[in-house]
Amino acid sequence: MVACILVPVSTETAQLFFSLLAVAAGLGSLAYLGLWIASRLGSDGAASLGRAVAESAPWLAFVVAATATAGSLYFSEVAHFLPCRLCWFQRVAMYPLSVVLLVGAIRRDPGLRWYVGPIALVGAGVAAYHTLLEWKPELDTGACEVFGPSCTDIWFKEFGFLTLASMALIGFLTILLLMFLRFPATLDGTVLDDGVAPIQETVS
Amino acid sequence: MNPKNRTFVIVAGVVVLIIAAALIAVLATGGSDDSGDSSASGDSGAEIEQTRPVEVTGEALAPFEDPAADPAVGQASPVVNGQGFDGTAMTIGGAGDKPTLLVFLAHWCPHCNREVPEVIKLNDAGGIPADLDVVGISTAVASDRPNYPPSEWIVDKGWPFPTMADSENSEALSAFGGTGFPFLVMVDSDGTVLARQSGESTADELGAWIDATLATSSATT
Repeated sequence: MVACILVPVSTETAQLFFSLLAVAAGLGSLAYLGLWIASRLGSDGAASLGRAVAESAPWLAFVVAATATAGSLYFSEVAHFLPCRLCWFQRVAMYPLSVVLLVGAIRRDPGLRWYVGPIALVGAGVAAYHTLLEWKPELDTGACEVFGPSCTDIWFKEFGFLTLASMALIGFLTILLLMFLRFPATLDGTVLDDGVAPIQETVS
Repeated sequence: MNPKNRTFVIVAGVVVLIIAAALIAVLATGGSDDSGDSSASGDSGAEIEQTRPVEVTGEALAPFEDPAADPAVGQASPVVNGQGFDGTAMTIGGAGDKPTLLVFLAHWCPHCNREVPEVIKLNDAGGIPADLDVVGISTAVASDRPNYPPSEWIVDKGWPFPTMADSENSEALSAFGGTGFPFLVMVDSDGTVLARQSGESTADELGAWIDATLATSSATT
């Protein structure tokens, strides 16, 4: 549906749009990681803010996965960028995440991260390798294929470094951080989103 | 604020961020889909046709697979009449005064972008024999892919050899059995195929391949 909405938009506009979101996701992830580190170092403020974000983590991860899926569909179905072999493996990982995260967020499933984590981890691994191939094409077969795109093909490079593979990598890593970062709880009885009493989290 | 409200506020903030990104993208690029993405003459370099009609005579070579057991070696090469980017008539394949090295390149291919400097490096080092002609063929042109238009790309890369523009359907590449880029075909002066090679190589590897291939020619004539 999103791809249909974006049909009248030029490919250049879509590239910039999704690249901006990837940068935002990357910066947001770094900030979230910074909060986690600060909370582990004893900052109550960071822990409090981190918990607030963590409560929304399933929904935020869903937004990331859904946006990545929409972007993937736009670039293949509207912009006609042919997905390469590694692109397909990443799609296999990202597309189901959109659905799983939506259902998990609605149901407030306390075990959501254990379904999402392995899929996102595999996707991140493939995306990392794909990104490496784009920077070091000599690691691939050494030739671009006539019939079908090569994994070293770079359809566009936004801001001088962002490619489709690196955007996917940011998406997978963002989802992993949102799913697995846990913040030290206060003793006010607040229950974390996975249903575990906060005092139990701090014990470990 | 209770957790439900916090979640709503945070997710709403993300949605606002997405809308802001969309606005920035539209304002920065113009937004509408009027830039075109399929016409080979619709972008910069528009006055120069990036693909040119070619005429192929003779039997097409088998698709290239294994350089060690290439059925095309020893066969008569097809002859392709076409044009350079400036419209100059050009012919590749067939008999000529010298052996010819045909280098098929795609402007968007990262391996071609790495191979071109290696060919230039070999040429600058005097590694390309004087009795060998080198001709580039710009093929698989796509206006929506990087480094378009190829007429400017080869200039930017400093490609020093004459270059033919393949047709929109890459008929010249097909005639020589190309299955990947970069794709090299060595044609002897009598018009027979001496060797084919695909994939990037260093200047040293390319020089060794040229010498070995031309040595084969000397041995058979």
